[in-house]
Amino acid sequence: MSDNRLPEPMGLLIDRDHPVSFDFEGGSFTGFQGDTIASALLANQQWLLSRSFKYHRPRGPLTLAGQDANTLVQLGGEPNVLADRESITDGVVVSGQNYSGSLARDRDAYLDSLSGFLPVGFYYRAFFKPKGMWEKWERPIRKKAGLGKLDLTHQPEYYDKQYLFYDVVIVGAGPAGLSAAVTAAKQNVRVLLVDENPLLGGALSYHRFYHNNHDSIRLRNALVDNVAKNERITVLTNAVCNAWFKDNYLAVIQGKRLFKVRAKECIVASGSFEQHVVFRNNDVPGVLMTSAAMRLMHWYAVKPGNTAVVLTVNDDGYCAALTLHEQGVRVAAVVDLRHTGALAEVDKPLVELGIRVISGATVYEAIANQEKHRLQAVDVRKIIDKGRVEPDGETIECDVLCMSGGYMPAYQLLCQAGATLSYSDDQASFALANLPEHLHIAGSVNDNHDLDCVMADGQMAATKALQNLGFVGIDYESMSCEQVVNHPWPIFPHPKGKEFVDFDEDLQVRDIINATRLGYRDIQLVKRFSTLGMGPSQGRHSALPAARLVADATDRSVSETGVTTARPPFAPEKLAHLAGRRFDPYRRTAMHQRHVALGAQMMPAGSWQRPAFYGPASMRDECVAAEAVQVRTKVGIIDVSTLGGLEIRGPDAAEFVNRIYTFAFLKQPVGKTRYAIVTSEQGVVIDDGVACRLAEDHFYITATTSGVDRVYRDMTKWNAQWRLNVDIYNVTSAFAAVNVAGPQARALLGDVVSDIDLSPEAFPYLAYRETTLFGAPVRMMRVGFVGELGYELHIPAQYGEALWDHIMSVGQGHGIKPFGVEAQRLLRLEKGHIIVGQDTDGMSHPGELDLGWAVNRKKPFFVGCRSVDIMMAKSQTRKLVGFSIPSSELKTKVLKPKEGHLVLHGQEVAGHVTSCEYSPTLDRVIGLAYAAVADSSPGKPLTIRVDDNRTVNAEVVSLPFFDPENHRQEVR
Amino acid sequence: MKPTPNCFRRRSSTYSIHDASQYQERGNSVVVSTYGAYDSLAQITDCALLDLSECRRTGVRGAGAPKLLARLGYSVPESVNQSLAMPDGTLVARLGSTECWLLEHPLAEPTAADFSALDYGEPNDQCHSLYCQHSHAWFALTGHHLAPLMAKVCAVDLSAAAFPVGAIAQTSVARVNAIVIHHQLQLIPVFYLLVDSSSAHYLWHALSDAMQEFDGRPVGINAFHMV
Repeated sequence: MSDNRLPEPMGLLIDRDHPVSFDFEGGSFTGFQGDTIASALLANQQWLLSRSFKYHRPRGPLTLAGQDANTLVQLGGEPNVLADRESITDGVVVSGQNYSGSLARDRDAYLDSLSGFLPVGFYYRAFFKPKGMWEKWERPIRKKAGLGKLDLTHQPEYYDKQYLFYDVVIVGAGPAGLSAAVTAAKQNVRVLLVDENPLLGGALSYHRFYHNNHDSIRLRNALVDNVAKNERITVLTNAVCNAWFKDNYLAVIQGKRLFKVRAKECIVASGSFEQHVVFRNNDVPGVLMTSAAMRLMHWYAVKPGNTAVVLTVNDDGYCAALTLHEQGVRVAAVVDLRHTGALAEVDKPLVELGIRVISGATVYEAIANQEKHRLQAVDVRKIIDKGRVEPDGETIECDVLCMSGGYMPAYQLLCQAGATLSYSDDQASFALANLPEHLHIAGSVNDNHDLDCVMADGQMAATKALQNLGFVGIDYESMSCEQVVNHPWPIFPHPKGKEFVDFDEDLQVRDIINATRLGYRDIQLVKRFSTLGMGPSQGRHSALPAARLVADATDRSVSETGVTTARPPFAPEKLAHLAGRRFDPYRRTAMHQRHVALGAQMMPAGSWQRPAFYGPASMRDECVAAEAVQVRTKVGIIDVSTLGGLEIRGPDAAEFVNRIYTFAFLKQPVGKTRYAIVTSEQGVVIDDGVACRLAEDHFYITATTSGVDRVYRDMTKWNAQWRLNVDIYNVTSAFAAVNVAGPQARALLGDVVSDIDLSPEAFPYLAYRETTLFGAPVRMMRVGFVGELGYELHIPAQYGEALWDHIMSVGQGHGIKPFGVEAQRLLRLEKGHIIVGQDTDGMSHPGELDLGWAVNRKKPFFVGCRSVDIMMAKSQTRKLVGFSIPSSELKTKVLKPKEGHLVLHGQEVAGHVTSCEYSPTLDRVIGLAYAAVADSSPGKPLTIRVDDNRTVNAEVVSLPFFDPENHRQEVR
Repeated sequence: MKPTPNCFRRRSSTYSIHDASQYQERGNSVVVSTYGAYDSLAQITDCALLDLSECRRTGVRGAGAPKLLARLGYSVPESVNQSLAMPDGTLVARLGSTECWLLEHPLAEPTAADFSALDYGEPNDQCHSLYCQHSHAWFALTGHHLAPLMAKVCAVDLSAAAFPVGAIAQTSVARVNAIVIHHQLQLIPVFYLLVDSSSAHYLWHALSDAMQEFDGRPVGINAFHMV
């Protein structure tokens, strides 16, 4: 174990009794339970963690808070893992990424010296001319691009989602968030406290609030204790609030779960991001944020280095210097950009400790060691003007440089909510305004940096939230914080460049300025041209310096320049979080088990699972043909429980049905069925079925499997206007149903039901009868969808399986066999019956489908009647026709048309094939297709473009293909 | 002979899920009496799932529905989306101003609730009976994790504060339409879920998956007799 660890109380997150071993880049390392990969590596003096995106520069930790791309590593098969977020576990294998050879000796590091030839936007400008050049460049660029390696053998893991409901949700558990939570919970409301870190307290857990002489640790302990004891407060740590959506709908990710949080009131106390200072080589490992060094010590008890320089624009750097000194780090100097330096009370303790303070100066260049893997010294220069320094300076040896370049509010969630971010060029401070109702802001994100102000701000936000929740008699005092933490220009361009504005994308000062010189003056355009802020850190550190540079280059203020738009997600999230546990509902009929037992190949029909055919999948064509022949020659049974079922009851039932469907229903006799089609207001056929009149005031209407929900919705919508005295009830799942069809159907059913005369005279085609089986009511209809003598039997669903068993059992003597959806589709095709949704589309009106006979034009109204009139009065451009192709002409299977294949009229596309199948009964391929009206007469040739751009000649034939006189219905 | 679903003509849409179970006769069908060792008081108190689809239920709909139920001796909740338990344990669930469902007490004698006056018929010219015995499956989730469990499958706040005993939510559970009723059986918190019977197989598995986090398991109806 390294002796680089600091004694307690440093190390809030680690358990020193539990060492953990892991591999990094082939070497073995040991840390403690609670360590992140990064903290454990730093404890072992391993500062080189990654290589930069473009120039392959060595990179080490910058924020130690998962806010930058410098710590992206490969963790086993998972790329782009944040090493300063991910905890170590025994035996994990970690490696760097984006290098050639090894992390320490990257063969692509030469790209750093070619940076002059890789200016901003060079991708856009270099590779698209001359024509065809991109094809040549694409492969090597793609090979070089991308971070990490995907494990293509990766097995899906369990991710899921959960809803949460709270009165008050607080994002950020720093001092503002904690005080807000405690304040809100006093009123007995349900509070959710969300923080991305593994512990509560935010800056209280690592920051030294010097000014007010607060004992941060004691205050944090008191607040955390208060929260822990309060049952009304729920805490989610290691949880990132990744998005704000309207009405305080928050996306929070914790581990493998996405929480969808509904908050009546939301308080964003997200804090602020410490900013870096822009100077040459500000990315050398060893240069990090002051807050990162403080986290390293307080959270993980890791000594950041032996000799430190603190570069600061505010008093926080002085406080950090004190802590560094107390933990045994020699502080070589505090370099303060402010000419005025700090207040005496801040300065004095350092002077007493002999720590040198250099005011009005900056680090002009960081100097790496020979391997370039660690900081060795800094070049400190006096500032003579905005961004300009004296020609000569002082080199101070150090192995760690802490940067306190000021703060940028963590504004992302608030701006997602529509808040506007403004910047005071005088104070170099930010303000967020125009928050929506029920969204509040507190703490340093609200530009409060004094601890007393932060705490008071949290209480104030909570009080406002409570007032919105209806609590009276509580109030707050307005407060303001005067503490200045930012410097107007912490940017120091160097003639040799490499002063990084955006670490993710390797963007230097000149890249941003050059973008403006190329005409990209708007910050949004600069972003898109330069890729500024497009990396994993999403501009958390680059947005402010880039805005300053663009403002300066375009002679505008930072306020006028603005920052780029903040969109969800706030932090990188995995697609697995969005996919999560899938809800993919399916529906099964009451007879499902019987189909499976009979070897059915199931297929989806909408959300239903239906038997496609019975037999091996490899013998699909043979099975379907055999099932079709069975129905044509003997008797078959098909489960039609998936058909939609709608009941219309009430005194106005007939009037209602008459208005919804195109046919006439007012005089439909009780005990009769009638074909019914529905058109939309646009006159398009949207569903069909059979309407049975059970009583004067009672209709039972079937609908298509996938269309019933829409029809039911439309019915309820229309009757909300019509106010007819009817009740509309969707009984789809209440009934199981079978269709028994074939020449033997009547004989078979004669053995099933005893109290109904099934003779053609007593139970003719399209009649409806009722009987009882097993004590349950059965509805029987004589139908002809498959073109054979057929009966549908509808029974309450819990008896569905018993009905199937009974008919199959009784039917053995009649040679009954089940048939599936595929055979049913073939049989109805032979009969020329359409399937709405398959043979129709969003333009199909009754005229195109030859369904004019099903439209009653004598009645005054049905839904879509006006549109149907208009559509049918127009000259038609296409028509649904039947076509056939003799089997002998189809020499290969490839030539058989498929649904969707195009129908040509000359060289023009006239329509497409909607149904096509080989008919064993007719021994030819038959189908339905939309054809040009000129080609729609029987006998006309039809050209169909099939696979491989080949064409097949079919012939238009009269419908139906089979039994045009309907003799099969009258078989005795 | 021990009863099994195949002994009866009436079978729930979910009976095939309970293959390894023991059943008990209930009316003209069976319900799962036990799955074995896991059926315990601790399990139903903590987190359990029961299939009550073979328990009796019926419904009436129409302007005369409340009046009819009152005439038959049932108390009808005053407001929609509320339920009331009758002295015999029958639960009256008001799903709309003109629609009420009756659910028998799953632990009562099967003959205790007589819904025959409402079955398959036209009990009154102002209302009609509903096929809810067939159109819907009936599940019961029990225990102290109901709200967080349901939060994994439902976007409605079903915590005790927002959804007290007696409340009804007609909502979507795991993307399937469902009626959720907050009830108590033997003082144990229960959510009845009435879901389209054709989706019951799917929802059973979705709920089973969601309850794993809470060590939830399916239990038979006998577990309630351990209370």
